[in-house]
Amino acid sequence: MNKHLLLADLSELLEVDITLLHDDYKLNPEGSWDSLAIVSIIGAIDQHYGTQVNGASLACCERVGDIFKLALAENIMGAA
Amino acid sequence: MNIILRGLKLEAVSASVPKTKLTLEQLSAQFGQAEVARIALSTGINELGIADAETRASDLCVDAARKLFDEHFNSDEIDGVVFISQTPDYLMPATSCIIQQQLGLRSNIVAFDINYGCSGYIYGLYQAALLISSKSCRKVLVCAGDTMTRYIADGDHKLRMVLGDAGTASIVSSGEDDWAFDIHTDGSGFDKLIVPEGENSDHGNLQMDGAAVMEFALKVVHRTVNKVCEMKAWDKKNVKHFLLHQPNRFMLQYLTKKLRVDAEKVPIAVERFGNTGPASIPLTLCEHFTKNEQEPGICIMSGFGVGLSWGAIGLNLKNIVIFPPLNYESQRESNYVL
Repeated sequence: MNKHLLLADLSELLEVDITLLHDDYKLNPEGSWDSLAIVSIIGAIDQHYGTQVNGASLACCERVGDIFKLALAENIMGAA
Repeated sequence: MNIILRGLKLEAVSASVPKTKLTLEQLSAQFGQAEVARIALSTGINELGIADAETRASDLCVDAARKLFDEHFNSDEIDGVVFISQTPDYLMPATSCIIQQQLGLRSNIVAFDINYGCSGYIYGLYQAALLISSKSCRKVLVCAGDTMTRYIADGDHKLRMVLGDAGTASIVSSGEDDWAFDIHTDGSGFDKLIVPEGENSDHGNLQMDGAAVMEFALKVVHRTVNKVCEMKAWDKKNVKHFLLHQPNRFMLQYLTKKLRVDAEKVPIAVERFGNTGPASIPLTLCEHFTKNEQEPGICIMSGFGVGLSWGAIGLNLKNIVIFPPLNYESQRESNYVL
């Protein structure tokens, strides 16, 4: 459920159809995966996962799946 | 730091924005339509007031203050001037002295500047409240304004599409309201929003770590608002409006969700002005409540940003006098070029 909500936000930010946003979808730091998208995703992860991720860590994400791994890891760390 | 200061009133607020506008069409011509549309969709900003090379922060604040004195208030009753800005007219003297002279205020008043940005309005109200609580002053003019757009690097289209210039004037006087303040400082984030020194002792350009600022805002804003609620023994349901600093629409939307309050209680006025730093809260007050003819009522204001610094104030805006934002036209020659 949370993943779907975050995917919906990501789809809007990256201007990519949500059905194409599988875990292997490559993020393009030269294109729409820029500082603006990263700032927005920090807010979206906070909202949907109740946790905060670091902007620098997000900037290192190469694929969509990396974002979810990061959000889940922070979520588990925060709960620990 | 938190404290309740008693016997206060926010009597009136006015705002002034440069008449020269930067529109999405102008930006599209320089940075490309698709890129500009993408950024505008997130930020919610369609237009920005841009001070020309001759317009200073004091000009915008003085314009706003003149409205108050022309329409309603006696300038001879002002006992103090507090000016909040990151862009003072000069390194020295204090811009509050220029404001005192421009407005023809009495000379036996206290006047000083505070260097703060997006949290600055809270600091300004706090200083005014202290001056009144101590009986040093009966009425204090709080001027908050920035001309930050002149610190944006050429080609930095993201900051160019977010920051606007504005000046505001507020009158704080003795009254029957008790104001709750919660104020914080964390200098470990001093470099997250900074204008470093440039070459030849000149100033550099504004640098912002947007992700760090977002992380910071999501962490602190709801806490400071909740603290003020607790201090005032208010249930958030009974607070009529939450007036937050206005960085951009998406951050305000996330902060609203984090606050767990109805979106209609959190006015958003970035569309026509962008992020105007210390002016954004009073400017939002003027824009939103005159346009919608609403009574602001019991409010919590919260500012957050450069420093890093943040804070909130709980107050009742019953019977406040507010005016729609003015369009300031420089009397001097305009040389503005994008």
